[in-house]
Amino acid sequence: MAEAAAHEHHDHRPHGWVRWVYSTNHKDIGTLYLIFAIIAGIIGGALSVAIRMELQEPGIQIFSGLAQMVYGMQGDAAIDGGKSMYNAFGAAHGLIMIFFMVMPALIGGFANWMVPIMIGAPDMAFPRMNNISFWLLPPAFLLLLGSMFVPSAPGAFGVGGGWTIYPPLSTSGQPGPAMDLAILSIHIAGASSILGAINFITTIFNMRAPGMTMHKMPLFAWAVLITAFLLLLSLPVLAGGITMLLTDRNFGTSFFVPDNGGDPLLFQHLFWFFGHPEVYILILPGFGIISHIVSTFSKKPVFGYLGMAYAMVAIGAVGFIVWAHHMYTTGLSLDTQRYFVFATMVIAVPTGVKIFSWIATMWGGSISFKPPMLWALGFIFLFTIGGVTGVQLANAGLDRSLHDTYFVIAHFHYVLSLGAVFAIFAGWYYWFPKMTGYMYSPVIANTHFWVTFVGVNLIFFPQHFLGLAGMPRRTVDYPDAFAGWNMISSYGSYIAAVGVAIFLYGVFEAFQKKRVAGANPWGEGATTLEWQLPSPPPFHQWEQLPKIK
Amino acid sequence: MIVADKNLELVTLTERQQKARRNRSVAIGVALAALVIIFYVATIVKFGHNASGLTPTNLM
Repeated sequence: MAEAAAHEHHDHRPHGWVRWVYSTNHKDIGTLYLIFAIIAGIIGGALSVAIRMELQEPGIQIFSGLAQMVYGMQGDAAIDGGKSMYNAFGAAHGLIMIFFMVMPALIGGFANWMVPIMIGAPDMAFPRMNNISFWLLPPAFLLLLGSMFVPSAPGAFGVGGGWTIYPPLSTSGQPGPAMDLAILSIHIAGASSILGAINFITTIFNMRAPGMTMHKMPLFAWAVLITAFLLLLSLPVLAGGITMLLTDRNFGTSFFVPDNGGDPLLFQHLFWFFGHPEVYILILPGFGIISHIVSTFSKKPVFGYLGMAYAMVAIGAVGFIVWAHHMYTTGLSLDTQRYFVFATMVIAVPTGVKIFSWIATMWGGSISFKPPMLWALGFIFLFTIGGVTGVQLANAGLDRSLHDTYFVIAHFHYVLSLGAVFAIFAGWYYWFPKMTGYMYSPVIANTHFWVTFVGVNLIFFPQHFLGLAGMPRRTVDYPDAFAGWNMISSYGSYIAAVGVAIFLYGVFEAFQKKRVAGANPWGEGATTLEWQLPSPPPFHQWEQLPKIK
Repeated sequence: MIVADKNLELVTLTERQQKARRNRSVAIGVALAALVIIFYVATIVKFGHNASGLTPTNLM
């Protein structure tokens, strides 16, 4: 708290819109990212609720009406347009949640806010680049949203090829401008992430406080460092792939056109060379957050710190050599499949190290079940379920029947919607008092947790059964036999939507009540550097660097 | 993992140290940006052959 006094007279900050638009302050930019992620999350979540409303019963319930309303279609055209619109909602939901919600929240938001503070740096290494990293995102998001209102295939609007945008559906299959807008959107969002990754790697390598060696660095900083490397290595490959897609669509090249010697499967290889590390990009920062929370609320140092750090390194490294497990049904040779099965299984080892280390951290600890801990425990439980179904899907033989079914949807939503999102809320409730200076109502936070926990499990657990029964993903309609579990799944989405409303009310209530949180509301278990600063931290922190012993 | 000390010792970097740190940051940033460009160009160049005749089974 000597820090606070030392900084009091330095706490100059710009005011009004200049502060936000021209901001080079990592905390302000982090706040912008968090607000952006909340807005994008609400839009992406609304799309998924619309999908679940449609699937609540067999038949086409709402999308033909929506197509009439939004696109002005009538009769049969509205029914076909509604089916395409359903596809467009699915693709937009995936792209929004990945590129515009989870990544901005975890990397742009929490990492921007906390990494410089945790490593004892005054700001990011390149503050102006940090500004442009953020401000590339809103136009990218608008391009993606705009793509939903322009033609794709004849008689259809919006990108209808899923978030994976495989050719030929994304080339000759949808010649309209919707796909071009979406490709441009991904390009811009990717550029934003690459700039962010360069900034984080440089900051963590070069801006650590004196005495803070890599092996003393907080696990969240480790997680962000590894995530940044994954971004740096995988995004250029996606950028290359979608550039080729763009030139195939508009400039007569044939990278993915078999008629002229191209190979549509090449895109799948390029996409998943990015897409699989992307899964770890979405979850590794969450791993870091959970480690801090489990340690804080067990009042014990994290068990096996080095093992935890290098497990993340291992997950990141192995994550680059497993991509074709998404492609078992494309005609890969058996030997290639055997390799990818084995490599994929190997990832369970470092992931298991992390799960068991979190449990060992809690073991014998003085656990307090405050809201962040509740979300962290929810994360560990739900992520483990998603991990276990991941091991099942890693088997090429089993994947033969489960590929593109709701089992896969259930699996990756347990890892992401229940894993990454629970980590985001865990981080939110952990750092909200630090970021704002206000303490939220624990009753509202706990209610938010339980309503969300019940809601998301009702959505996704029955989808395992639907997938095992053979219900394919990306379909607007289904046979009556699947009606029961679909209805429950849809009810779950409404409950989860109520959870979002409770969350927003909780934020409003915290700002309204203005309960002062204090520098360290979590007590002796909270040991990292951010808890040494007042809440909220001064506009410029660590102008004098902390010396780490 | 670092355990923050209640009585943190604070140090101030000299002008020279700050400049050296800035130069190191720029060097790391430029190197990383170069890596990104290399990966991007390599992806297109390496698989550019597909535009003119690579068999579809090459990656299987």
